Amino acid sequence: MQQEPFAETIQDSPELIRLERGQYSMLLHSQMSTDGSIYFSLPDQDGDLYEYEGDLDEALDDLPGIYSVIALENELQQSPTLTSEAAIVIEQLWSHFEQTGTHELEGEQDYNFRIEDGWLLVVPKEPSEEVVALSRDGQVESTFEPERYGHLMERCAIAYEQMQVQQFQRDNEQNWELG
Amino acid sequence: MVQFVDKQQATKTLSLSGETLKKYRLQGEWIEGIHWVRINSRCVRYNLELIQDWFHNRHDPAAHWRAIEVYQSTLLSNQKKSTKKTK
Repeated sequence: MQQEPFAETIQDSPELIRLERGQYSMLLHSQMSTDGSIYFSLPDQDGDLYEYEGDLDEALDDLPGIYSVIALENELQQSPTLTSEAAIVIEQLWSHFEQTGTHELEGEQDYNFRIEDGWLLVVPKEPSEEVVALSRDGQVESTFEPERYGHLMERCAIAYEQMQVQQFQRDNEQNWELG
Repeated sequence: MVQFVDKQQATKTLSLSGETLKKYRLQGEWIEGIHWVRINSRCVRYNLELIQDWFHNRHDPAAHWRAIEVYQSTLLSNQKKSTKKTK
């Protein structure tokens, strides 16, 4: 395989070639890789093999993004956390359930919410076994795949913005009435 | 039981080819989220330990499912999670 001029190459074995792009490294499975698909491993990740649709240059360009997803995966496995916007939205949901005494709420977009055994559960509307469980004192447990968890945080950020807009409108209306 | 082998051993043991990997993934023989996961729109990651077990127990699905359960139980997220919340 032709070596990329920008990548430092270190020969690890006849089959694996270490390529580095900045601080990120891949072990290229040179014999497996073809024009359309690149196969590689990552250092210190035993037992995983990556398949990339594209050429080597594109795979190296995407390496920081791939590392980022893996870092997020590890973080979520160890301790899923809420963004600050999500924490505020979840607090609103807790308030809703406490004030109404209801146990279920159908979300407008992709998730439904329900109270079960003292936990607030976030479940996808589409059939899925995945769930995020939140305790009233801030514990978070999640079986969401990282991509879905990220999506949930994005939805919470949008919901938070909508809450801000609504609050702004209420404040304006109140000012008009007072004025 | 899942055998943990290093990546070079795994690829050599399985004599993997890209076509083989893609075939079993796209045909649905391997389960997304277990045998492979999508990292982004162009990148997927294969779990070579489970794929090796799949080849080994190809005609004994129950044995392979036990290996999957063992693998899943090793994940940190499952170790600390109780069973109460999923239903």
